Amino acid sequence: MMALDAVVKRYPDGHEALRGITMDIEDGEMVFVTGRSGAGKSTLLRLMAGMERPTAGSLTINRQDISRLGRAALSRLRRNIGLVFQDHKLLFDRSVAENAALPLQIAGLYGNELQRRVTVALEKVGLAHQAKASPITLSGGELQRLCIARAIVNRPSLVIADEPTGHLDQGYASAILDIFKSFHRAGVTVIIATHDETTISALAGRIVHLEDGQLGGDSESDSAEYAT
Amino acid sequence: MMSWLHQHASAGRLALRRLIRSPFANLLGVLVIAFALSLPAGLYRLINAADSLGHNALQGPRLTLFMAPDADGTAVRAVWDALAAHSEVLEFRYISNVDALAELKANPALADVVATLDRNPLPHTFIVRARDVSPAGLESLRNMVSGWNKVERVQMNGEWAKRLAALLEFSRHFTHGLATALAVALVFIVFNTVRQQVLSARDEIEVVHLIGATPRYIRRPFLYSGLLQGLMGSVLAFPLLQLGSHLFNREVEPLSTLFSLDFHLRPPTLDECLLLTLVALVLSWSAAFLSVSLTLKRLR
Repeated sequence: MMALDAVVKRYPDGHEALRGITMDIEDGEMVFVTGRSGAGKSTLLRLMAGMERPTAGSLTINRQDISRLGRAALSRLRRNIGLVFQDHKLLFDRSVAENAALPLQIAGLYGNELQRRVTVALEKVGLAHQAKASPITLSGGELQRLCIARAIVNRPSLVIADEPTGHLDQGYASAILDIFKSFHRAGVTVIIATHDETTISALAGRIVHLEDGQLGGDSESDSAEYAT
Repeated sequence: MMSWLHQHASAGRLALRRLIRSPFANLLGVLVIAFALSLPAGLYRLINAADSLGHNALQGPRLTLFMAPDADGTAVRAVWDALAAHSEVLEFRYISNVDALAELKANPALADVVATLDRNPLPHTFIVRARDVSPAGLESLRNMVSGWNKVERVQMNGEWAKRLAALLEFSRHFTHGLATALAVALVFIVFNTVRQQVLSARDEIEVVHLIGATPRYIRRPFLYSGLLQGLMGSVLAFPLLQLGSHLFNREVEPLSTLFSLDFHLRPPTLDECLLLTLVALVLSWSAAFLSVSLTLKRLR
């Protein structure tokens, strides 16, 4: 699915956010990227999502080296990746359904097929009854679920989430984690950046720990709840 | 194919929605575009009408050859033969001094004056139509016949048409300059409107970019926005042109009648309308493309 080889990310101001990260992620894996603030979690996720390119080293997604891809090809690659942002990045002048439909419109889908897929995605996150509502009327947890619906509407094989439960209380966070659990069970590769111990303990998966832009640890976690 | 068409239709709808979102500012922009299109178009049509008037006048420019008072029948015959043999002479008419005096006597207003004359003061005259009616052709013929024996004076009666042609040439250059300046103004208006739209849609652009929109997909609604502005401006330019023509014709009609001239502005033809629309679309699309590309580059 994904291979990173000595990946370095240096910003124009000289700050080196990632320093020589090497790792592979297999299809269907659940990966948690952990570390303190400023450790490089978000930078690593942006690279994995094809939003940025490495300064040095190589990062291949589905055997495509993102450093060699043009801007348009990189955009097309991102269509196969479901992205969940901590700050949602939703359009508040569009309805819930219109927000969820965006990736499909970009991919060129329209009509009944688009409607059907949007309905399925909203049903998966429990927002089908609010399809015509404005996102302004949704709670924090619902906004995050809408963000997830938008991420999965295109049936991606990879979902990347940056602090998906960051601003949510325990009840909402648990519902969100259940959704990720269902994706993983369906064979989707899920990568979650988090510093929340509850999230990690709720789900079983691989834990990649970052320290000051370097790989500080790579281990497996177990969850009794998850195993059941 | 259907998917491609659907994406374009969506981009068009989005562009229209963005234009409607700030109707007053965009309507003002469209009005300015309409004026920027109709003003030079109107001037070109005025120049063409004046040009056609001058051209009609030049259809019959003539040279009038006045013979010397002492020119006798032999001298007149020699000029006659020379004119008949000259390749640049299309046709000519001879008026003898006797016929000219008889014509004056036939005029009741001049009859009394003519009766007091003790001798015929009028010269023998030839009225010549040249084959080449251009100012240069006429000038060349005049210089030639001026040197003939007993030809005292040659008068060219197309002088005013020559001056009109010079004035029209200047007006044409002036209109070219004005059209260029207004085209730049049109580009600037569309550029600025699209730039404002890109900046106010910054968040939306970021979102669609993150979830896989290509640069072409992101640019498309803004290009449609530019095209729509150009299209609306050109559509509005037609009634403006019509109104301008109507007002002009109303003012100039008494003058035309007085001078028996057929001088009026006709309604724009379909070809002219299509050309104006095409110019507006090309300019507005180019301005939108430039604007969205530069602004997106800056945002990146």
